[in-house]
Amino acid sequence: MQINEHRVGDIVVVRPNVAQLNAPVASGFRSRMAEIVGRGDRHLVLDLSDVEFIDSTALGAIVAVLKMVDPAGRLALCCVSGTVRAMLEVTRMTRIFVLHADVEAACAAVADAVS
Amino acid sequence: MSVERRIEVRIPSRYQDIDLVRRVLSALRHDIPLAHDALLKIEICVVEGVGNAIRHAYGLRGDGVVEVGLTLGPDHLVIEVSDRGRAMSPENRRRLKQGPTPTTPDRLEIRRNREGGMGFPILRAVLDDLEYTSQDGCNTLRMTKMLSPLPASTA
Repeated sequence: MQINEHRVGDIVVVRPNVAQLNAPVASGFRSRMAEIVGRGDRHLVLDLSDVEFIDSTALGAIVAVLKMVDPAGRLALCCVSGTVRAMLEVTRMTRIFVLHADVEAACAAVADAVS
Repeated sequence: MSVERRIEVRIPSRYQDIDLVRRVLSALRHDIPLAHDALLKIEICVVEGVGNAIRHAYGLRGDGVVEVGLTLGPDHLVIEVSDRGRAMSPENRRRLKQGPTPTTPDRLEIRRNREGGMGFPILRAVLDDLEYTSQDGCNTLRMTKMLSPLPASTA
């Protein structure tokens, strides 16, 4: 799985370049995120623009990332599709993750939270 | 509509083929009297069911077959996911029906768990009935969603 990343100040914006963020790619996604957090980047925006569908295994991987950055870091999600939003709603993860419309809004929220 | 209509889809036990099931479900969206968000949650459940069969019944081997039957009745939608792999354990059969539904997680709970095991709670949260049977080498997860007519403005 290709994962693009770029930096906005202290924030790393990560964009998984897959339509299906599911069990077969969840482990690779988690490992890549662990690398990013492991080098000291703890303020992350997960850009889900390319993701059409997410399953519970991959959602578990995102939760794992939240654990990695907690409590000092931040993880914000943006650009979620209808099905991804439905998954976050049915698991009530919308109470944990604020969903932002775009990368700029997500970065601004993370910057506000850590300033 | 007073009779049941049924569509069956058969795919290899490979993750990349689950998308075919999603596309079939999407094509039927105008025939199923559920709001858009509710249909998306049904789609999530179908994918979880098929994914469970691929991962647990077939152990990620791609040489099995997963059958998905969609039955639309006057007041219900039934989705049956069948495989001929390893049957679900008695413990998991109990968990399928008797565990919790997703609760509002807090950060403390997030730190403790929540990374795995969300599949069954999702099914319980969305669906009205879940049955799992294993007979003559065929395992079937039967998921039922009761339907009620949509208001005219959203139908």
